[in-house]
Amino acid sequence: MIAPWPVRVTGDSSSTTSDSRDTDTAMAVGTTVDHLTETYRAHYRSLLGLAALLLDDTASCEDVVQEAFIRVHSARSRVRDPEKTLAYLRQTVVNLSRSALRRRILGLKLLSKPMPDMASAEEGAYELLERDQLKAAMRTLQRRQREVLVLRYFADMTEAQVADTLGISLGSVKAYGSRGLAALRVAMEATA
Amino acid sequence: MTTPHGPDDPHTMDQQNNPLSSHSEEPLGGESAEEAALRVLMRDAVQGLHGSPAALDHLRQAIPVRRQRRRQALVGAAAALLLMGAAVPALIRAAGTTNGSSTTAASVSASHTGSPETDGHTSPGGADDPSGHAPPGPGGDPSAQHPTAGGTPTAEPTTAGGTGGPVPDCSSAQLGQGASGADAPDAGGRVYGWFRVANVSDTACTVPSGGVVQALAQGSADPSRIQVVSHTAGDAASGLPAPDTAGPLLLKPGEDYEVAFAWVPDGSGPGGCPVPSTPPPSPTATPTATGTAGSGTDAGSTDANGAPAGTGGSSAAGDTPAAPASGSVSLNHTPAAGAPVVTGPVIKDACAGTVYTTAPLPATNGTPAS
Repeated sequence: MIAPWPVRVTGDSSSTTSDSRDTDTAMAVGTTVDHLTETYRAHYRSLLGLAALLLDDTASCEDVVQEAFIRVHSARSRVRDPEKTLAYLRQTVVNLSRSALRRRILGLKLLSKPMPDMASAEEGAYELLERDQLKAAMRTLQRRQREVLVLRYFADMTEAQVADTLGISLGSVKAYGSRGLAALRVAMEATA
Repeated sequence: MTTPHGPDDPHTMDQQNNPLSSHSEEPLGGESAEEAALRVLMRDAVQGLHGSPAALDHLRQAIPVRRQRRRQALVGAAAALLLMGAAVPALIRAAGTTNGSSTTAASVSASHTGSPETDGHTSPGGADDPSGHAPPGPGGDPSAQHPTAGGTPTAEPTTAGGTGGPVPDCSSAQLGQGASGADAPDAGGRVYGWFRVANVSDTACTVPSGGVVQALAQGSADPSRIQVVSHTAGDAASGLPAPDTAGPLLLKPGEDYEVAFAWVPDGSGPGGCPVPSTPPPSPTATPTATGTAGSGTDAGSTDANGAPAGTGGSSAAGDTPAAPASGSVSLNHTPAAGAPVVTGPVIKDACAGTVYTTAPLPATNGTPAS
């Protein structure tokens, strides 16, 4: 019930506003909000897909993407460079998809206002995904193998970008990738 | 490489053999057909996923809240640093100058450094970032009030020390002549208003960053559903001036600053009140709420407006002698720790909602909104 007024960080928000000031003066001060809408439209669905492929429980993938958006956009330093926003978002989704961290989001979610009928809205699509052959096969992979494959082939990253996002070496990316592909092939043959 | 998937759906693909193995005999040059097939499979697997309709709205609400939490954690840490910075030289000076009183002075300043230090340690650690960013955390409300505690002691050495340096923060004694006002509710039940505070000293100072606007639930208003947040562009309080990016506000002697606010009720009913007016005041009602209820039953005092309720909380705003069933929200503003609280307007028929406040703004004219 008590809030301080915004502490002004000089030169921070002004640098983000200068880009699009000419487009709409009414919204000039709130370019971070604009940026949010833009990022949402451009990347929300693909990030949902990323989370869905990484996660074992697809029901929480929208929670993961929401949390990633909130974290990245509440840090002004992260949205200053719109080019990097997607990279930050993907990295955060990957990190949040690891189970230890996901449990903490659930804790956070209980504290804050829950999102209205989040799961029910898309149950059909998630159920379909649960029965997907690829998804079942992905589940048999090691976490790292799965992460490499998803980033490489779903997020269309280069091997160097994958290495950067996961914080592992280029050699490891290649190794996890080829082993992951082999394991996936075996798993797909088993379920086919 | 982007692989456009054709009109055929994944099921037909699955039915032809295993797409991964069926292509795997092809030579591995550049990207194999197997890899290309995997791209298609992954894309098809998640093709049906859409964000829930409320997703963007939820983000719009959640991001300012998280940002504020991060800010509070930062402010708390900064206040601890400021206080340390102020207390350590004082401690050295006190220990060095007089031998007789050194022990008492040193122990006093040492005890000052203690409390913000613990505060600074507790505030981070909640929602931190997985990718190694500075950990924000639920700073909690108490940390929000520390910057003024930190600002005041630092202001004194600066004024004593040099004249050419930056203008110090206004101390609690420099701020006064508080005033407030509010417009009539608009069609949506929104109430816009302002607090005004003057620099009553004869030296210039900057408005401290730790001022606080507080909303107190009265009657059947639900304290847990009333929140005070900073106004950001694009939020529900569209009538507030857009947050600007100027530096700290400098107040010359006699000048005023303003904090504009907007009350936006929750959507559940008029004023955010539940439609049937049955709910009893929650058992966790604030002391102020009970104090007001008490003054309401004190039938002896029928003063029309704003008589100080002696029994109420010290920061209680004007009384609402209205029926105890209807809720209301009273606002007040503390410019700096120790400064006189500016009693604000009482928003009638309000139960749940959000108070949006701006940063301190220069008071443009003598009579702002009426």
